[in-house]
Amino acid sequence: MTLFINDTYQTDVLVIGAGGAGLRAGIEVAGRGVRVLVVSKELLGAAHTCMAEGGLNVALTAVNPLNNPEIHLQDTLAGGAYLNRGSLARAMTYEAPDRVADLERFGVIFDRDAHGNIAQRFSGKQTQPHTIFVGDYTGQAIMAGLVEHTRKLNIPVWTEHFVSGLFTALDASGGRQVAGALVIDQHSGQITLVQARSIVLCSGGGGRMYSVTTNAASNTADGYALAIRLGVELVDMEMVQFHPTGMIIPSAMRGKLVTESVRGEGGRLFNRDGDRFMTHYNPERMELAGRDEVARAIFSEVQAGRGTINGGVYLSVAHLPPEQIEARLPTMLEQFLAAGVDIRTQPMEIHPSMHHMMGGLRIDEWGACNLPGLFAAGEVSGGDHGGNRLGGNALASCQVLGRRAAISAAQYAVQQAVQQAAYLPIEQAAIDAELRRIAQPFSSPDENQTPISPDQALADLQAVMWEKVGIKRQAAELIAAGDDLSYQLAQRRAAVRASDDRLAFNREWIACLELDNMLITARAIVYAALLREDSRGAHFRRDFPLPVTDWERRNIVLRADRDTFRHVIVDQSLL
Amino acid sequence: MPNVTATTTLTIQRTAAQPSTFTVPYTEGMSILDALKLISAGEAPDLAYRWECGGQRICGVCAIRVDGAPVLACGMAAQPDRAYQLAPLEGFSVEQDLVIDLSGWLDRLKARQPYLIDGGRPIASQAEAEASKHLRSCIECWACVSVCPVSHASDDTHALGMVKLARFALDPRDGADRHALAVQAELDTYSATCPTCRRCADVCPKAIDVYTDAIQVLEHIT
Repeated sequence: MTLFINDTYQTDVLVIGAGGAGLRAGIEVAGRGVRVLVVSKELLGAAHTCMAEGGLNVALTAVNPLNNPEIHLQDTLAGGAYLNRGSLARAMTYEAPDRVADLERFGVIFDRDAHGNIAQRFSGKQTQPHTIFVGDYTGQAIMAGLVEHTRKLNIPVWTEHFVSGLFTALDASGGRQVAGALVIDQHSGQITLVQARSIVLCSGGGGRMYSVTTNAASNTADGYALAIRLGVELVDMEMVQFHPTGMIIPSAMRGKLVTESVRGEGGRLFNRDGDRFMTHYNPERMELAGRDEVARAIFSEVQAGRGTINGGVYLSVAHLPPEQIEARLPTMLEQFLAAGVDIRTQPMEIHPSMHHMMGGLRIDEWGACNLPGLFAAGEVSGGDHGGNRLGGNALASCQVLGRRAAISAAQYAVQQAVQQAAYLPIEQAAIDAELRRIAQPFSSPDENQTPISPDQALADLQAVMWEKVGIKRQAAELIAAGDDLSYQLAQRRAAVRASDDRLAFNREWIACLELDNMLITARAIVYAALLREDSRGAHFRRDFPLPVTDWERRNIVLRADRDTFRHVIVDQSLL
Repeated sequence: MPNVTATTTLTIQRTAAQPSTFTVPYTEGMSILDALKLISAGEAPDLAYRWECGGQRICGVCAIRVDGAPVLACGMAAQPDRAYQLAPLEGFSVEQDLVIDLSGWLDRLKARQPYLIDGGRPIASQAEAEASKHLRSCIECWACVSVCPVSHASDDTHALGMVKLARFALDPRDGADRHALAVQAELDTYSATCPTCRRCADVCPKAIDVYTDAIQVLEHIT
């Protein structure tokens, strides 16, 4: 089948993604009077950010004189195993108070304490309680405010549209800069070429690469792959966060998030023998140690045969007053009641679940990548969280860096418009190549190949990532995973197909394109994980179980090189 | 353990065909959404339905009718050896299978100015924060609208718009005259014709009662 461009559209700034970072970016660009278009895979308000439960980290000195942004910054750097890009972490922590004020201007109301101040609680690895919240559905509350303000500013949002690829063009000085995107309307299958003077990539993470994940349907690693295809640099791709507490039973609910605020409220972890095992791993911080530490502790208990019959451990809040559980953890109460467990009196059974990608597009503190005109924020970008993200820092980051990337993109677009009124022409050859690439799921399988459905192929990928690129890794398994992924990528191109060739509402077509994105991103993770012969942050190597001094404060920067990657190892500046 | 495989059967009202019946293996804890995912990964790859959060009951996009009643498909447990009738939410035009067209409804929602119109002051107390909290928990799943006779009889008002108006009416920061905006949105029609059937409250995943929590609030504010 041959696909065609059905329409073209021009905007100064294109924002890809409508989660916490994307909507914040759209609001900032629109607020500066610059034309913006937001494109989102899901309905407005339904992005993965709405699933964030625990809260947003911010040092509110006015509420707690013992707290300040420097403490938040130091906690973030320590939590990130000192792999953070310091300028990003500094921006996030020092600007979070202003961005929280913005959110309240947009309509959000964070829960208050008895004095009318914004209430704060502890999450993992915090010296002071940095976390503000709305019950245990903070992400949904933040999304509601961002959606309301997006409506107020009348920002165009194309919902249920899929961005398949980005384009560059030659600029006046002979260099290349980002120039547009190919966008598929998932309802009609119509294809629009969007020309933009700058792009803010806020496409979220890639949890769907793993069979056990807390992530939403949309988190199919699209942004990493869009960047990889253009030779954009990625950093820290080996740093994959496993949330310590995901549901384990019933099996259909496996992986579902059990918020960190359960432990923030005082929840305790026990193994099968009733031993509060965190005493052996981190007696000082106990259950509120870093997510990396707690996830590994749980994994180790289970591996040592001290897990429950279902292969998890117990998490209990039964010692807390029932009123506290009802008021502070309503979602958890409801979620476990649906599974037949009353957490007011009974323990939860949990196991780590893939949760967050610390790595991503290598950006500076203003969201700039190594491709002019392309900016990034939110989970798709890397560096702010280092080797391990603190619970509550994702919501802070998407607000601070989403705004900053938007300021850069708006300024860039305005400067471009001054230099050259016309939009940069995108080469027809590049458009044709992308149209051929996205038509490929409709072609006949290669000779002697039986067609494979994208759902089956995804299950194969998820199994490889969960089993071989999980909480504890080793060279042999990573090498095997790399081979598996190469095979799956070849198989994807040879035989994974949509079962029919209609364009409208063809879920399998989009699933094939998402699968490509996940396979490409998974290979980047494996490449970096194999390279890092070290255990640090979320990355743990059984064959190098202790931190290796040579890797201290050093990050892996990757970019595509034909069918694989090339890398440089950079010394991280924490300033 | 008995070695019998339980199943769940869904009969789905589809756009381009007669209702189609599918049977999938039952696993413990499975939701109606999980069953839909098994069907689309197997027998019916062309089945159109929405999902995002996949079980957290928070994104609001998977609302459909199961045995006539609106539910979040991700939040309704499937039972072993049971059959269910699935259909798109009532009262909306259908784009494809279980996917409804929300565009006109969203335009009407936006006409209600469902956003904070700043009166220029912050939240001052816990009570002020709590006042609108219940209405702020709305996830825009459209279940209330689908069962509301007033919403379907009028071109100018709908239940979700009333919830948003009341949410800002109860927000002390909001500077707009929400009563006047509600009157423009045919508050009087709502007051006069709402049968107080309370189906909105029954079907709301957050138990918002549009009549008590929104209409009565809007009637009484000045």
